[in-house]
Amino acid sequence: MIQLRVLLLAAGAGLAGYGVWGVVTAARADLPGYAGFAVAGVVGHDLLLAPVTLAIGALVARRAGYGLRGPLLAGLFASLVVALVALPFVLGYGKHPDDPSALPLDYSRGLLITLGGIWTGTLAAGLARWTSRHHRSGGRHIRPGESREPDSPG
Amino acid sequence: MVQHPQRRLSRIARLPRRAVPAPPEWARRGPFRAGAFPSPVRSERLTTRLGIALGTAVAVCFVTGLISHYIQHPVWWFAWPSRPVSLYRITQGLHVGSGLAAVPLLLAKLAAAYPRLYAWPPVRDLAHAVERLTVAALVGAVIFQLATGILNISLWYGAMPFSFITTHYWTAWIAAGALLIHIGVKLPVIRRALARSPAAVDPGRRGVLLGVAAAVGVVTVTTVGQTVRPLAPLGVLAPRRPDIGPQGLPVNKSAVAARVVEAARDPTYRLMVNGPGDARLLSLADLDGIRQHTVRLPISCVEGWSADAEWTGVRLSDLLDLVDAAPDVAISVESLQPRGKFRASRIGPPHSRDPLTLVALRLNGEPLHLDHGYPCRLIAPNRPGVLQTKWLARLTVEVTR
Repeated sequence: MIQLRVLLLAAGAGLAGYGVWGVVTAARADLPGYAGFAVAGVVGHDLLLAPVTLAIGALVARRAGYGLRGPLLAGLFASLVVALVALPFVLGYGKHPDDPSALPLDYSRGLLITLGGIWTGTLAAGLARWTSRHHRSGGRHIRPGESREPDSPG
Repeated sequence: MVQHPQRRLSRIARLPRRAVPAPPEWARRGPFRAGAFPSPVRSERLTTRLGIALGTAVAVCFVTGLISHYIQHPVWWFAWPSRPVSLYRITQGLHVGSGLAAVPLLLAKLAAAYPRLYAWPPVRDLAHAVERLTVAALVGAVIFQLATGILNISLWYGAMPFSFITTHYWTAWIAAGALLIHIGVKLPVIRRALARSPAAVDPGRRGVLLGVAAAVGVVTVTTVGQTVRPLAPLGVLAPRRPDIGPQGLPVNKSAVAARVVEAARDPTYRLMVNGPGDARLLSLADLDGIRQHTVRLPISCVEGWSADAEWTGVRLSDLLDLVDAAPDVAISVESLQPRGKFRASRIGPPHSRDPLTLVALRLNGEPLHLDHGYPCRLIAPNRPGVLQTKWLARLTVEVTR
């Protein structure tokens, strides 16, 4: 395993070094904008997006009932992903008056339809869990602490 | 006093592992506290599974991206065939599709490993510091690639204060290299996580993976319709629709944006074909008089969308025969476009002599729309859309030797 690790580290250092060299030489004039964008991505994720979404996820995980926690967190996660991906489409800066095929759809509507689909699925999964739990336990009420439900990825 | 050389050597060898003083305990606050992330779901196994899924998506994205790059910027060791005609639409569809699928995988992977950001002490030794730096480079490079990729397919170039093509290409190497380093560093953890008996229960791991898979599915289903036509009705978030555009086909650059409207409509238009010995000037009527062929070929854009269409026109090889060009020559193809990165392209042997390669005059039976390259355009099998030069002005046989 030690040979494989050395190989991976050496190859990785080579490729990454090649990439850094390429950025510095080929995109020299763009470096401030490039570095700013890259750092903003990491900082934006690590200090804003991740803590906020993880805190919301933890709150929901604590409050949600036994059957709903998993579907609810999955629904929130999918909603976040879809909103992030769709944001530039919804804002529509890429639309061109002379090119009707560029961003041709109503993306606010598309986002709402997608969110509707996600939450319909979430509700269905939650109901399915609830009824199966209820059925298995013979109608006995289960306290939240008794079940081990999926938690958030965070 | 001179130090014993061997002792000095071993001191240097131990340097990466020499502990640096830890910060005082009172500084360990907030997320740095022990137990600051109490979720029972996080585990080496979960992080490893997510990492493998993300790593696979990144690998597919990297390889397909390189293919697209080398088709557009040829290198001697890379040859791209002209058949199958739809290979590029598949590789580029995969490039954009795997990039979009990587968004939920990345968010989940980073969430699973998030407590590591607040490891205590923040730096143990030199090796640890270097490792953390490469992880930062990996995270930064992958976020950069996904963000710029999405901005590019949404045509929002103004949000990127740099050349997308240059930086997206070079950052891919940084991401790939940093990923290999990360795998090398984590290999023992990965092996341990994969080897653990299935009996070991991680509460909720299956649920998390299911939830992440569902998010991948939603993103894919709502966007992949831009290249997989049967799924077009579900593509409510697709930046393109294969059936929307002039003559029912999308366009990447309009005639207005390329500033060719006047030149393209000029009644004295002539296509110039420059051979090694002979040159011809062909009017639209002349081109119409040469034997016409109809082929069904996709337009496959670097942005991941693609659409099939029926093209009618003159075979490029017939035009080359007119000027007695050798069969294995490369041709430089220029547009009426006064400037722009994609005003010209080069078409070499497997594509230039392929009977499916046309100088097209018609699209789905009608004369080309101005936005599709009227009076005539290049259409070849298995080539990125940006190389299917529109508004042709000049074909020049490149002189070899």
